[in-house]
Amino acid sequence: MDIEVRNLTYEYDSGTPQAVRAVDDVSLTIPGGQFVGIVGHTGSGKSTLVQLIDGLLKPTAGSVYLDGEDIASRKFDRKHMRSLIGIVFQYPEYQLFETTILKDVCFGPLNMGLKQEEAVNAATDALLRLGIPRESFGASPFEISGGQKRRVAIAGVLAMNPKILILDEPTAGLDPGGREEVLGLLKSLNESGLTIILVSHSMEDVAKYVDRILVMNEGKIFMDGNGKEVFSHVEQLEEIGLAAPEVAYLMKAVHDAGIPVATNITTAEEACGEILRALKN
Amino acid sequence: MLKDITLGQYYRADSVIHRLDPRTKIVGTLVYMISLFLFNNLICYVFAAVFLTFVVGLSKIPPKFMFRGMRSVLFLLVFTVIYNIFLSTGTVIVKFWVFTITYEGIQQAVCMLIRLFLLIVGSSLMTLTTTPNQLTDGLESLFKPLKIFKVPVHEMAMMMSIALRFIPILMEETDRIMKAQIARGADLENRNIFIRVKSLIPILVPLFVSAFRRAGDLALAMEARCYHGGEGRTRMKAMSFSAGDIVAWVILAGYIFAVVFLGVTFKTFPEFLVLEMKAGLEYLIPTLSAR
Repeated sequence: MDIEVRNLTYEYDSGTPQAVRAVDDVSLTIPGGQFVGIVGHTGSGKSTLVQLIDGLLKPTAGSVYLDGEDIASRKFDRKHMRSLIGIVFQYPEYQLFETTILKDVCFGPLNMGLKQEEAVNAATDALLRLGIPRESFGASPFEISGGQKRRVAIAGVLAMNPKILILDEPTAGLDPGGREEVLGLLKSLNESGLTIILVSHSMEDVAKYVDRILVMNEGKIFMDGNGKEVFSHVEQLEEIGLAAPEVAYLMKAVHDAGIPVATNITTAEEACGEILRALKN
Repeated sequence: MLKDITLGQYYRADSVIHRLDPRTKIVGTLVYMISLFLFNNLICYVFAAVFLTFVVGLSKIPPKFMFRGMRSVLFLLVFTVIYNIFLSTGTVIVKFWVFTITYEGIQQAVCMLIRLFLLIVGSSLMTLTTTPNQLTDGLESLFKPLKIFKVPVHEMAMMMSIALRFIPILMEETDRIMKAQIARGADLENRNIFIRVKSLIPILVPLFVSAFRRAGDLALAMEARCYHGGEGRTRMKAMSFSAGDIVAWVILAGYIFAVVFLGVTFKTFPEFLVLEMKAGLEYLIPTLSAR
């Protein structure tokens, strides 16, 4: 399932003196199965962009196409689209409302028109996938820990069995262990064929897992490429208030110290190998 | 979608009106509102309208923005006009079925419409030019004398400013929860009222949970900063009357004088005046009880 965005513009408070252009004439294509990271500092328009893709906001101008179909068109089946695109908002645990974890996760599938039994099956699969043990399915979603709440909320979206999964800062407020867990899960979902769009401001997260990075600044796509391409432009990233992963700085320092290493390294593992290689020579 | 509510919304601008002390604005608005009910002839209304236009002009608020808040009270205005046209006695113009339209009725409808219109514009001008915080500070200061009667003025003002401060936050939160549930397939646009009411549960429950959580956090933060109420507190932004306020008070005094003068001089249609007061009462009683 391909996403195509054409000349998309969105203004908050359109027509008033407070009007802010959050997304400014953005065009891009995301082919099915890609793991895309969208980075940018606060207010760069990344959250707005993903909400436009999911049709939760109406664009001021431009359009979004899903497999060539305009999502704003009258003929388009929006209910069906909701099951195709899952979106996990920032702090998704604040959307939990049911009396038990299982019921809450069933909410999405039931809305999609699944029968009770099918919904329970889908919910069970999603919950187990996120590491929620069967015995806590009956617990209240308000009584479990913060990290578990987050995973239940993600399961609530995953249970709808989407083809495209959008996550807005899914790791915010999680401890390093929880972060690795969530990101690892996304990677495995991606490997099983899902398109993943990960909105984040953590360069480390993005560098390690995604195929393609979109850097946003002031509502526009500032850079578009894989990790190595994007992080080789450290100066430009810093100009718009972002930073490359720590490792990129380390490699630059090593290089400047006279050891001939490549500087387009983005993860700790790669850096380790590269330094060892350079030292052996 | 929830951002269209103007009532109580502050419009940021730098104008003479914005810079006035909140107490001046509160008292001024109150005086203006009372003045609208003091007199009963069109000349006074025209004068009040001109005066308000002048103040709105000074405030640098675009008229388009002023009228956006009117939409919510449109029903009240229409209701008033209909009520006055059809349900007053006097010289009959048209008569059909159970309805009679009288000359006095039309006159009263027009007067009431102007009066309510000016009332709403006048009061929204205050909220548009005064931040909620200034407003509560002003009210606190004006109600200070009540402390003699052991009224917890400061605490009430604090509660009010917290409540006001939380409106946009909860609004944003609602918007976010709504989007999250819509993304999970919640049907908020169904025409069936029962389905719609039921679909509010996934929005209201998280909203209440979040409101309580925020309230708890805030209470904790206030306690951690040793907040203990009004006794002995000083302000970061102390209110003070400036030269502009003195000018405003003088203009206000002039306005009162002019209104009383016009009201006494042009006391035309004495029987209409009586009728209108009667109609006014008849109007006020059902509207108040309707609330």
